[in-house]
Amino acid sequence: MKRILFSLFAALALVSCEDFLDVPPQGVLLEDEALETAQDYEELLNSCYDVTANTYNGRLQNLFELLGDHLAAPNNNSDYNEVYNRDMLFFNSTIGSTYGEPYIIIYRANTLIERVPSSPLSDDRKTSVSGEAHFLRGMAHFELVRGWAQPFGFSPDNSHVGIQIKTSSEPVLGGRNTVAEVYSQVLSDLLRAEIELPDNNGSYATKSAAQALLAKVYFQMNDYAKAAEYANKVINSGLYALEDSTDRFLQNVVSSEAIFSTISRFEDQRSGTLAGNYRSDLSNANPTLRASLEFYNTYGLDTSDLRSRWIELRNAGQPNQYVAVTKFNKDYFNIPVLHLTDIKLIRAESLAILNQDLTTAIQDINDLRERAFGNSSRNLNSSVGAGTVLEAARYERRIEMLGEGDRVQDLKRLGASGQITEIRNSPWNCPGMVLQFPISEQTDLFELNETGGCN
Amino acid sequence: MMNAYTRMGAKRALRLCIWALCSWTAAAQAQTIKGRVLDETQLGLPGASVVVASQGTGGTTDNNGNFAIAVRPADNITVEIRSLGYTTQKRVVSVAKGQTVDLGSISLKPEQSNLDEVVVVGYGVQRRREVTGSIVKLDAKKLDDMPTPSFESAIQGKAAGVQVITGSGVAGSGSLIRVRGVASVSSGGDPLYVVDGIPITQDYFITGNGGAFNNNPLASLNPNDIENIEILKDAASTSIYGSRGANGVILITTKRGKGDKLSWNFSTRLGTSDPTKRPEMLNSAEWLQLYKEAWTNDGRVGTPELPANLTWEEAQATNTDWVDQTITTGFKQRYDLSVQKATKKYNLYGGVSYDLNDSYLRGNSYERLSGRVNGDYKLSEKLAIGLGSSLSRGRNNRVDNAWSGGLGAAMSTALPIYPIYNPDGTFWLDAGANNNPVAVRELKTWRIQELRSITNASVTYNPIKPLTIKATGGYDYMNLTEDVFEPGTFSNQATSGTSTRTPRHVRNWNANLTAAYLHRLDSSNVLTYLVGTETQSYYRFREAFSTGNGTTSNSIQNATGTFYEDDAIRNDNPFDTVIPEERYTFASWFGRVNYSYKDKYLAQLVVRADGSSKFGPNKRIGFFPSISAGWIMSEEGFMKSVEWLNYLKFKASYGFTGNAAFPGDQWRGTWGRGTVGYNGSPILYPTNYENPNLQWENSRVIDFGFEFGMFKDRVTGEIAYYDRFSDEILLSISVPRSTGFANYWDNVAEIVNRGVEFNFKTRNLVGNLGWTTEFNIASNYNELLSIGGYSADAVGGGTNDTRVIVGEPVGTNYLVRFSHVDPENGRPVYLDINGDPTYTWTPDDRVAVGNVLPDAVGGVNNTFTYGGFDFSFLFAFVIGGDIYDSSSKRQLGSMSLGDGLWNHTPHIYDRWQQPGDQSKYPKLTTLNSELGSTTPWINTNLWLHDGSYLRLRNVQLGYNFPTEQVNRWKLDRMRVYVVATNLLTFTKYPGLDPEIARDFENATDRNMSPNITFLTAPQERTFSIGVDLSF
Repeated sequence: MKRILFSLFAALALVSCEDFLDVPPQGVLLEDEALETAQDYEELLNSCYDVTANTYNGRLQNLFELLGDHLAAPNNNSDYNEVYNRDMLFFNSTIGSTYGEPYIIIYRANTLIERVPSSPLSDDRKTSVSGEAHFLRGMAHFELVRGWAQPFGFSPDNSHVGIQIKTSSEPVLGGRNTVAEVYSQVLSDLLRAEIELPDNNGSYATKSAAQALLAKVYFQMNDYAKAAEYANKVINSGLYALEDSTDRFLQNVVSSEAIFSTISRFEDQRSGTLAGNYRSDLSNANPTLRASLEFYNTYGLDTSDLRSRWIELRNAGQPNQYVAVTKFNKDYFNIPVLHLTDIKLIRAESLAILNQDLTTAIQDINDLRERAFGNSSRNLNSSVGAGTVLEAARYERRIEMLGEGDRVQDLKRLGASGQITEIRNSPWNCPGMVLQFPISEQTDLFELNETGGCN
Repeated sequence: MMNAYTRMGAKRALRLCIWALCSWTAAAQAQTIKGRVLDETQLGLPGASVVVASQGTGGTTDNNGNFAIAVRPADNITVEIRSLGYTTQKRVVSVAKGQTVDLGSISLKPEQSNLDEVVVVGYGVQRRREVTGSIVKLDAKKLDDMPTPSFESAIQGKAAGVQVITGSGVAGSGSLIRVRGVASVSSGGDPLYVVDGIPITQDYFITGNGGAFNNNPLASLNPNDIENIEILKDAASTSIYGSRGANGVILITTKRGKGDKLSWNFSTRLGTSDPTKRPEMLNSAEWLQLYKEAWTNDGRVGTPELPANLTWEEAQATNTDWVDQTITTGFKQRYDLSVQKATKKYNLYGGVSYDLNDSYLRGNSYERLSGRVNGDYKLSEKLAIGLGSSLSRGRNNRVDNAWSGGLGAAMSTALPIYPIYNPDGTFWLDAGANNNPVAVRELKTWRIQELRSITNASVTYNPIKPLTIKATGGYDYMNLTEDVFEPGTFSNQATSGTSTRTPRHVRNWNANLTAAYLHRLDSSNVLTYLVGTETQSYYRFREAFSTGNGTTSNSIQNATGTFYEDDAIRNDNPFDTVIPEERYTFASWFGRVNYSYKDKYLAQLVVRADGSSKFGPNKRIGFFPSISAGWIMSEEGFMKSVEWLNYLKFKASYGFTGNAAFPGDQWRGTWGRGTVGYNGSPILYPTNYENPNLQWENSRVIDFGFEFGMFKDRVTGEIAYYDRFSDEILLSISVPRSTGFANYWDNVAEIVNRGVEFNFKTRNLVGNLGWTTEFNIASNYNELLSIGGYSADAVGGGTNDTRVIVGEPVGTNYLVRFSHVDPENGRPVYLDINGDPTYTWTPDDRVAVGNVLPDAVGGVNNTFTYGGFDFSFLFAFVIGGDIYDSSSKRQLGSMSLGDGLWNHTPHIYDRWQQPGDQSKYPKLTTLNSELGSTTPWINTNLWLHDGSYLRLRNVQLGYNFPTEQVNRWKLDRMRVYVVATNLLTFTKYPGLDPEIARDFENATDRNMSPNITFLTAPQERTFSIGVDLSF
């Protein structure tokens, strides 16, 4: 009897164990089987764009816009209020979750960069995928360093703390790199992307996208010659044309002036954080984000400017008066992250600062003005000087880029080059002008941003 | 009624038959011994054994306690009358040929020492005397005095070392149970629940925290089906459960048939539910006045801006009492019908139950319909089969509460200046649907339905007398379907509404095989062996329907009702896609050896090996040994002279147990594929970073205890000391986001729990007037020894400013210190990290200022009996521990329009108004900056309160009708009673209710944030009447 029993238990023990305990999860893939086919690599690449779309669905733009001087205090949103008041806590989950997204892009891009050489992709695709990964990695680092560190030019040699550079998929904890190092990494990635990316790539990154972003990066670095050079490359490619209308946030269509765009569909609505916070056309509209009265007085009163329709004064004279931004009054729309209007204004401003080729600069301004007014009545005279062009470029930039998160970076650029000293009545470089890191970043190696805000 | 009457008729006929049969047997054999066995209340005791050993015959008593045994004529026949839990009595009679001897009434006294009480232990039973571990047994009577849908809240105050925090007043909410402190952070800290040998599905987060409510996996167990529960506390008793025993094990044993006659039981209870304390909020005029004051304090002039475009006049004209609109008196009803019978060959128990449990929240109820069949059948002397099966349907008619709306909105953002209706009679939604809880309740439909079946079947084989081989298979099936319909008006969408149905299924298979062998070496030395193996397989999945474009969904737009109300949307959207959610397995081997010498010296050795798919490949199998010993000193000769001490047992144990209550597959590096993807193409992405070393949490437990009985067991009790050191504690760490991941599971922390437990029971009066007192108290010391170098904020889920900090208990309140209100300007003064006063609030100045764990918990219960009456009252108490009233930072904080305005509580009248004022709360302001911050969510210890309380938990008065009386009504027994719960509470806590288990986000939150309230609905106070009948 004992022998029978013993055999029974022994049999049960041997048969069951290893197989029984190895329960591969369903609905997910395992590490060693995830990346096998060329299609797998394409899908991993697509997932980088997926997160890019989540980053630019308004989350990043809104945080940047709140730091600038276009908006009034946000309504009913404590996290946004902290940003607007430029005194952020490391608990601010809106900032924290936005901060995480570019690093997801970076992690996936790094995985691609490491593994694409040994992938079954064709040689052409290997080059293109590598270019796209470098483009996205560079763009993610660029947005992070613009948001979470004092700008390029804050210190003379840019040795002030930036963000952590990640060029490997190994999850090693590290400290913050200097801003100089981050910009150098961004340029290196984008210059490589420019070489590797194809001219045409559907709605994904192209050579022009890398060039447009390089123009923006150099512009931010106050390197106007390079900025103009790359803006020229993009414009001269002839691939992009200004929209006839002032609206480039189009539903179901990618704008003709979009150089790099994230795609939003009915099912996924990748524009929700813009529409969700600005939208003012529904009944009982009570938008979270509103323009400042000052901005309205600057741009809203001249109704011959079609763009004045983007800002409406509501409940005028009442205690609950506010300025609605109507630019994003749609269910969903594609978001032109890099677009021709921006690049033309970069070129115009750069040329004006360099005092070179003012004819081109004036033409860039006039292209936008003719679109805005429907005629040439507000065009710059071809004989105006660089100062007038500069002023016009900066004036156009503010209204054209409303809500796109551009203004604060522009102000910081001007601060770093000594052209302004204050942003919304506080020093341009006060601690509150940078976004705070989430508390989870804090380690022995990693210091959070200075507290104290902007008072 | 007609049916019931017919059944009664049938019943009577049946009884007549049986009686006739008995008479006939009696007539055939002329000699009979008869009599009636009574319990301590002088009621007939059914199911007692009457044994005539010398003649190898016997019988059991009927429902009235009567027996009649046919015997052969003889002199000095010894008749033994036994019943479990009672001391055995003997009578010696002589029976002449043809004689019927009537022994008359025989009163059995409850067993004094309970030493022969059977205690369920893992995979078997032991006599109380033999137990070397620390086990609390509670029988059905003690579990049935709380009118909640699930049994576990009734444990409160009754078991030493078991802390029970009843969930909120929301219908069907679960309780938080901690056995000997808490030793987990990110994995579940709840005990393992085992029903009739099957570890059941006990996930509180299957539906997440939707509507500020966690699903209660125990709600589908009908408390009336429970015979008793055992709570295993130390390693000696829990190491047989290996990697799942560390937080204690609660063994639930359901009823089996008893009594050799078919007997029916019917019981019902009807009652009411009200909050223990009604939330008091300001009315419209009061709130407007304070808002104006805040406006003026900030130097602003004119009419203050109101939300939702309301004018000051409109606001003044409205005064909505949202609390009144969201609470009412709830009505509770429960009906149970059961039948049972046992013979030598088989036993059978069957029960059906209906429970409709309204809470005091309008529109909220938990409804359960359940049935159970349990039975055993002896195929032969060697082979027996058994089956236990329950089927229940629980329906939770949900409302929003706490942060999600309902009463929570009434206590926060639903301002008294908001009307319920527009002039045209439609709901006023200008401030958003959430700020009109009446509209949400009326227009939103929300139901969670749980179908649950727990079944086990066993085969027992006794090839030779001392060997028992048992194979058990168990299947625990759960189908949890959540239905929500929300009209489009809520979200300002043009659609008529959104209907969502989320069906989830859990399939939990369990099989075990054990062999037990009783080895009597000689009359003094007895060994018992147990070996066994067990496997468990768990699978949870969700169902969805395919949409046209290759994706799946659980929601449809343009709906007019829920899926269960609308055949058309059900037919159009068949749930044809299975989405796996979690899957894991366990495979285990275990053994136990018990040694007993002269019933005086006891020793036990247990070992279990657990393998699980949850553990990383480097840590596949864990071993959990324990060793324990007992010494019944009162059996020693030298103790016999100590007359006042009739029982004394010393026991000690040392062993290891584990905790594996964390999600499966966390060790794997995984990738996901999204078919919706981006830009119309699929995506592939990493979802989890690999950790091949992921393992169970490990606890080393030392336990010492004394059990004693004094003055012939008029005083009995137990004292225990334990020391539990736990390492490899799992943290779901918020890793730096720069890694590209947000969370990572790792075994890093160390926690110690150390404590003493003391309980006693005294029978103060044992005469016609009986008085019994039971008391228990347990004190636990908890400290986090290590957190592996991570920062206090690294652990995700600490949504309530409780943290894990080395040197402090788990769930430490980590807050900025509030000092005082500056009498000059009314601004709050905080203390910075160095203790210096500052006007600025910053989280950099947080320090450990309190903790949520109590210093001691316990209860005292007094029971009086007189004739057929019984009266009992139970006080439960908690000493120490802090309550963090997280909502009061807004209910008494800034009135910033931009951050969403809150209604205030009347406590705000103790505020600063003018220079020189000494006040508890700062001045009113519309500016967060005036309170020293950019945010209105200013967590400080101003909102931290002493959590001690003494609560009259339960008062019960019952009457058992005399047998003669109920017999005239054709009944065997009848009891009526009234019971009230939470009648009185003594506490310094100024908020609503000091017993707080809020809605939790996840297991980490559940471990760290009891005693944190955020608009949590207070407990309910209930009054009920009940009737129990057997016939």
